[in-house]
Amino acid sequence: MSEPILTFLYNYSAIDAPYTGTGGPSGNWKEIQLATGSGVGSDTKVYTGGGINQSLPTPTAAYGRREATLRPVSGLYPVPQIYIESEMDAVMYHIPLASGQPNTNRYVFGVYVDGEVESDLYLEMWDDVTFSTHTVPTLSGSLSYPNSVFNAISTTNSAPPALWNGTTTASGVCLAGYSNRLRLKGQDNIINEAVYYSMYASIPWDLAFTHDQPVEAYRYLYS
Amino acid sequence: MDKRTAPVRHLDSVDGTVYGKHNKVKMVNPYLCYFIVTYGDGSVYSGNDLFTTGWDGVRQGIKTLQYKLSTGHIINIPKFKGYLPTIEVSESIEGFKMFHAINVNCLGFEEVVTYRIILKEDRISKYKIGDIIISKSKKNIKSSQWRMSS
Repeated sequence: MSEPILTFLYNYSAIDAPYTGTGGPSGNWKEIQLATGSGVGSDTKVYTGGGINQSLPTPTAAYGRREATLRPVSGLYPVPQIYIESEMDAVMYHIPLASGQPNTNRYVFGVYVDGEVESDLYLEMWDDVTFSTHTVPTLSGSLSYPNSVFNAISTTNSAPPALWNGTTTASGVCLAGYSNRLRLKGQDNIINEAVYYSMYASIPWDLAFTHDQPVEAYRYLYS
Repeated sequence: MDKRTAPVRHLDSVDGTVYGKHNKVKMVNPYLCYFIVTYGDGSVYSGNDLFTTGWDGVRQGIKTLQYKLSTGHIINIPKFKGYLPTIEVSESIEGFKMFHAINVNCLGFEEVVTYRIILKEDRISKYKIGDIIISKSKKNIKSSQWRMSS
C-alpha cells in the first residue's frame, strides 16, 4: 500500500454545497497550496478583523492586507473573518461561510482523501511542526477561558447545531494537542472521499496580546 | 508537485531533526525504514519505505516479520496468527509530515496485540526511536490488509 494523498480544501463561495472533485480545486472549492521548490511559500489561514464594515472586500482582498482583530472588554469575541492567504496567487481568498454567529454552514473546510486511511482523520493544533507542545496563548487560552481559541466541529455527517457559536465545547472541540482533537468522519476507514469541518477563533477578554502562528495538522493511519 | 516526497525536510542520510519553539524532535528517515517478511518456503519479501510500504504485495503465509529502521534498529515481531501494520503520521496544512510510529497489529487467539514501534524522540517524551510499546485490545479491526501466518 501507499500513503494516501490528502488535499486540504476550502469553499470560497457562499454556496453551502459539498466538494465534487477527486483531489485538487473543483467548482467552488480551492486547494490550500503547499510551498513550491522555487521559493513560493505555502498558503496561510488568516483570522482577521472586519473593520468598520465588518468585512473585507470579497471575494478577494489585496495580498497581505489585514485588519486588527479585536480583544473584547468582556466575554469572548469571535474573529469575524477567515481568509486563505495565497502567496502563489498574491491574493487573500475570503471564506464567506466561515465565522458569523451562530453558524450552521456545513461545507466550509474539507479534506479529500485520495487512497485509503485505515483510521479516522483527526484534526489537531500544535505550537509548531514538532507536534509536541501547545503552549502558545491561542492554544492554551487565558485565566478566564483556559481553552484553545480555535473551536472546530465536524460537519461530515451533518450541519452544526443551531447553538454552535464557537464558544462552547458542547458540540465543537477547542483544538489543542492530542487530547483535544477533532474526529472528522466519526469512524475508521476513509477511502477516496471528502470529510468536512467548520471552525471559529474566539478571543477571550483577558487573552495575552500575541501574534501566534500555531500549526493545523491531521493525524491518521495507513497501511 | 510530488506531494509524496516534498513535505519531508531536514533529513540527512540517517535521520532528521525538527526544531520547534520548545522542543527538538529527531525522526527516522522514512525513506530508509521498511519491513522484511519471510515465508515458509524460504523466500523473502522486503517493503519499500514508509511512503509506499509495499504491504499489499505481501502474500498469506508469513513465517517471520521484521522491521528495519534508518537508525539501524531491527525489530522482530513475534509469531501471531496474522498481521496488520499501520503507519501513524501527522501532516500539517503546510505539507510537513511527522512519522510517529509503526503500529503492528498482531492477531492473537482472543485479542489484538499491538506492537507500537516509536519513530521519533524528543526532550519531552520518555520514548526513544526503536522503543516498542505493547498493548492489547479486544477491538475488531476490519481491513483487507490483514496477512495471515503460515
